Amino acid sequence: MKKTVSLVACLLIATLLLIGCGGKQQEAVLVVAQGVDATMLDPGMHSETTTANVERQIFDPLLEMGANQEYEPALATSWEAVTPTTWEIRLRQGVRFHDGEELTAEDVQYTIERILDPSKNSPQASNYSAIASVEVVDDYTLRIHTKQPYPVLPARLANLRIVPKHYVEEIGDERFKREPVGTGPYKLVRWDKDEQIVLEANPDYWRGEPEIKRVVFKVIPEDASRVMALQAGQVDIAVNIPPHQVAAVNNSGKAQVLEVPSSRFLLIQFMMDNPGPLADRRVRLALNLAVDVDSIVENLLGGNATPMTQTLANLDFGYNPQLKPYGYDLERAKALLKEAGYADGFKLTFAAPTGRYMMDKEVGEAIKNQLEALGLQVELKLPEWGVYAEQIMSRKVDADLWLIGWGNSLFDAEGTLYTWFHTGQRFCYYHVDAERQRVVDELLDKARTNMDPQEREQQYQQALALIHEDIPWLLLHQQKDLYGVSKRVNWTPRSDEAIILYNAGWK
Amino acid sequence: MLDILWHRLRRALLVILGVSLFAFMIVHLTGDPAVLMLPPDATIEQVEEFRQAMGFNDPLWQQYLRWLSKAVRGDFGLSLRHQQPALALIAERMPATVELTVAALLVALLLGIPLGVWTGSKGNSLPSFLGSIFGLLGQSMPVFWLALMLQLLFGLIIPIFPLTGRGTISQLVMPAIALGLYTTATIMRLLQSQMGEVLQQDYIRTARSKGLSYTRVVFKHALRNALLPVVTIVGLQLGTLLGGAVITESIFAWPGVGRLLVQAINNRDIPLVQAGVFVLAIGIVTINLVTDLLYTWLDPRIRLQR
Repeated sequence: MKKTVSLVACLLIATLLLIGCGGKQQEAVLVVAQGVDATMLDPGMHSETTTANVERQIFDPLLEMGANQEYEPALATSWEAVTPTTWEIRLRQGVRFHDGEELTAEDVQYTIERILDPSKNSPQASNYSAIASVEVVDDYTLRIHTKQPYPVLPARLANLRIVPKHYVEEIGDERFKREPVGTGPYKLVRWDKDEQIVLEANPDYWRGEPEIKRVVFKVIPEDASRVMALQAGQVDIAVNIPPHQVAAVNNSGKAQVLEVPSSRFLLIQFMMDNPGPLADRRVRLALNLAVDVDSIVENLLGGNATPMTQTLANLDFGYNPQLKPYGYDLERAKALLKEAGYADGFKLTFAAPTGRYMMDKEVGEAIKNQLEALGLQVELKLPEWGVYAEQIMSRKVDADLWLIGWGNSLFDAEGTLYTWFHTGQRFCYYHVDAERQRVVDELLDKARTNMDPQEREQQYQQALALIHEDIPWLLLHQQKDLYGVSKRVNWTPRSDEAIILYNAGWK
Repeated sequence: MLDILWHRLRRALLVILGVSLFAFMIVHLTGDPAVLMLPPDATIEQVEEFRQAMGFNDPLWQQYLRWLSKAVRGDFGLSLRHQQPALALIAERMPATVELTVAALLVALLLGIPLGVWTGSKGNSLPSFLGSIFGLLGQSMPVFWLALMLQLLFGLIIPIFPLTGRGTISQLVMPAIALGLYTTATIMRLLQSQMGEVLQQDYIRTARSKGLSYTRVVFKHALRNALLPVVTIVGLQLGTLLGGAVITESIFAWPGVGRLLVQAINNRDIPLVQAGVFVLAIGIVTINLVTDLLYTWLDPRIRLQR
């Protein structure tokens, strides 16, 4: 009996060892690890960064944002506002979809109309609601008519990836989500749900066949596992490396961490519309002065962020280089509170999400401590993201201060300032005297439809300076995104969180 | 027997209904899928339009009844995020979850039963002491810690197994051990104490005095009787394994139902949560039913008590 048991045990161990050594690796496959799987591969029906990162290998946009936030041609060779409300777009000729059909203006028209079709419930519809109609002039020319002058149209078109009309109509929306056909540098080979998406290079790509012939998007939800996979050389590009793991990746010899400034920043909104201490500008300034953002960046985020100078990220069009952070000065903050009549402090509630942004809970706790040092009694709430997001979006936040991250895919002040500071908008908690509010509204309205870029930039900078004086936010920091990249790959991360692989290569 | 089956089936149906209602209410009361889905710069009107189109503005009981009347006809609706039939998304990931659960259970049985028998038949000795330590550790190690340690040890430092993913048997080893160790320890401890008890019984002494070998007595006479409670535990644990695979699936990037459900809950993807909860509830209720019946069949005393 004993012999049998030990024999079985030996056999088991031997099999396990054999199985373990079986896998062969190191073929030329580039592996990208993200935290969640794509939900679909239809570029028009989702609004998720992780999903976009997969399907953008299969589809091409009309234009692309290059370095320095300038737009470069992709499927469109030119785009021009021929009247303030009419844009003429010329398409590249001879571009073919993966099934061999040629790209024409009708495909572009179909792509836009499909997103705007109310029966399809596309979560992107609001992004294109400024478009009144799309007119096909000839096979390679189309005109987009907007409801008002709409200077940010190119930014929208940079996020619009073109789908083949004939193919979608033939197989239907349902199947298209799983069997995509585009003009992009890669074609779908297979998709194992929640596990991996395998792509292969498109040999007839209009920019030329990509150097990396096979790409696998793997799903590894757990940060620690993603980092280990990178250290073991099983992954070439991994997103969202936690700041405290940077050294471990860099010391592994297999990979290094690349950082890139993100357009996403963290802010704390003051509930200015409630009567009480926060309605007083001096109090809002005091709170800004009491929070040491430099120390938070250095000690909690390992230096992977930059303090905000104003209510806009420094990568966005309209950024005002004149404005400076309010700074850190606890003594002055105390004096201001005293002057405002709150020498003994006051009570306030402060809400921050958990697990949504880099070290969000820790940042929230640090700010609570710093505000307490000012003499306030702070009650910190840390709700789960789904609950928190609903409270914020439906304007039912139960706190005097709340922390949120804001990213602006347009890279334009329009996406941030109009949403947060124009009267009547969903996120507008900006309440100052009526005259000031009118001036800011007017500047934002003008800039929104101004087709002269220089004048428009000035209008935004002016609005930013006024808002800066009124202190509607407790300014925090602008994040840096951290990517783990294996040493065998040449690839540069981007500020817009997009992963683009057609120009990546082997070292 | 049929009587019992009918009785149990009715109760099972009630449980499944209750679970689905409960899940529906909780998900609805804690978040709004519309605001989580639309881009943050969508206006209030656009959110309202979307909500209207999706039917989120109707009273909750209406929404539940609408869901239920479709669900009994097998239509669980479209997932909000994936825009694909919710039941199909669950069905697609079910094999992975079942595979992992069965593998974990195999680990538990293949390790737990021999260990339990061995340590339980040794009385107060070193093996029994070591067994108790193993049992204690196995039951108290949190699964996420164990999973990460396995990855670190056997994936990175001594790279025997792939860190993540599914497809080959070598990818199954670490997740199965991580998930199954708690059950292994439970079975082992139970069997250890059962064996200790059974071996004190008079009929064991009788068997020994007939001149049978110790091994034969242990396996033939003692184990059969000691295994009875193990059947119940395995039934209960199978449910725990099925539902508890969430953490293991996340750490080992195992494409199962648990992970899909956690994401669906985060996004308040109500149709998907409902379909998932429904399928898991049916699975667990069925397992319990089978365990009950099996037990009744194995132990005639329980049958007679009815």
